[in-house]
Amino acid sequence: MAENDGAYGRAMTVGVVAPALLCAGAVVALLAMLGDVPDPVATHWSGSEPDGFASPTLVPVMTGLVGGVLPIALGASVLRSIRRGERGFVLRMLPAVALGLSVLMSVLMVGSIAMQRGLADAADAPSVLPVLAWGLGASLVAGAAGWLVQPRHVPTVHEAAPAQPIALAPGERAVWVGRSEMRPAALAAIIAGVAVAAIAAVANWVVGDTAVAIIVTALAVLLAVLAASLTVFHVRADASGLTVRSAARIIRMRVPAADVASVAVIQVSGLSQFGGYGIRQIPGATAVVMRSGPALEVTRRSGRRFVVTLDDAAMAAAVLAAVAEVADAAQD
Amino acid sequence: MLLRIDPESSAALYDQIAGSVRREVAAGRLPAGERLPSARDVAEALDVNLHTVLKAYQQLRDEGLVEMRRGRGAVVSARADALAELRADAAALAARARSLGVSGETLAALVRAAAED
Repeated sequence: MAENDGAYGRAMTVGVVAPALLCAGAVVALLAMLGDVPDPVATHWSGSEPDGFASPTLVPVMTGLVGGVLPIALGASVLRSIRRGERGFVLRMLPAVALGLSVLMSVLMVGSIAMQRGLADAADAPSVLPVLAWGLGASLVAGAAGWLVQPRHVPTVHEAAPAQPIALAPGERAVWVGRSEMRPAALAAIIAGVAVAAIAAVANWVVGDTAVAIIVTALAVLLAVLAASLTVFHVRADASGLTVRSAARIIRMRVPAADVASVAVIQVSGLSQFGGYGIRQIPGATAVVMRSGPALEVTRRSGRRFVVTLDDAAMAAAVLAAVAEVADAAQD
Repeated sequence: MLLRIDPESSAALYDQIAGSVRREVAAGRLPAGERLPSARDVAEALDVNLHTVLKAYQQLRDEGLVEMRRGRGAVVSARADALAELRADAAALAARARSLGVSGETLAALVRAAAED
């Protein structure tokens, strides 16, 4: 049913095709105006006075990046999930946000350049505030339209497969030890991000401003620490229960065996179920979501769920279910 | 990785731990290049001495199933693929033995004798 609601085509139109057309139109309009505007043009205002200037040829390039590439990346990020049949608030929201963003950037860029036509000196440019107001208004309308054009998303609920405890001989101990990891491609993107921040830090120490260099270095270190501690989690199911801790041992989450009410294997989709990846808190559940796919789901005695994505979730669940049974028997 | 030990069993604990790893490799759940959990993690989980786990890993290294890499710990070696490949043959052999009424222990002795020839 969910597959035939046209959500994929609508999301594609709203989040990718429309921003691409808008951005292309804006770039064409900007190129057509290049001859009529002063060089340099005003590109930044403080209050109503222009205070930042750049070559006019830079403006179409910036428009392409900020008004085109960024929104399209945002809009396209949900397409795979929607194609898989997942539905959810975030999956409907992001294409609409992409459309709004591209409308804002297109109006802002074209409007601020159009009002400088015929000026000899860009310092005489009028205030950008009316253009900004138009841009914001248009982007809100476009975003709302983008939201309404898409079909209603009924959040996907995945069936939980209750775990069968593995059979243990009296006195036998079984444990499951493994890792919850990101997909290699996602990990590579994060490593690339950290590398870019590190290079920017070095570059700023060499040629830039000291204050900027300190900030960028702090950012690079923070990113590296976050990447090291939040991309791999060690997961253990043993007699004491379930333990999930980050690689750098900074974060540690536990579900004691006696607190385990039930164990199941579920299919997780990060974006539609938890609004993203990482350590997620949603009403009624805490989750360590490193990727979409199979995950171990533990329901506590309070009813709260704890979810961690694992390739071999079935085996981990079977061990934890057996451990919980033993703990249950010990309590009686 | 699933690990099972039975302290009541006559087999040494480190043998049981090594056996668990071998079984996971043969089942294809630990492919070549996969990192084994740290010995410390395994020792804490199983509630056994760290040296027991290290001895099991040592044994696996001696038979070439894992490699010890500096900074990365124990990594499953390329030998794992060979083991996973033999698994189908072993299953077929076990099924044939069952149909002939030959016990698992007798079959194991037979295979051991054949391997030693």
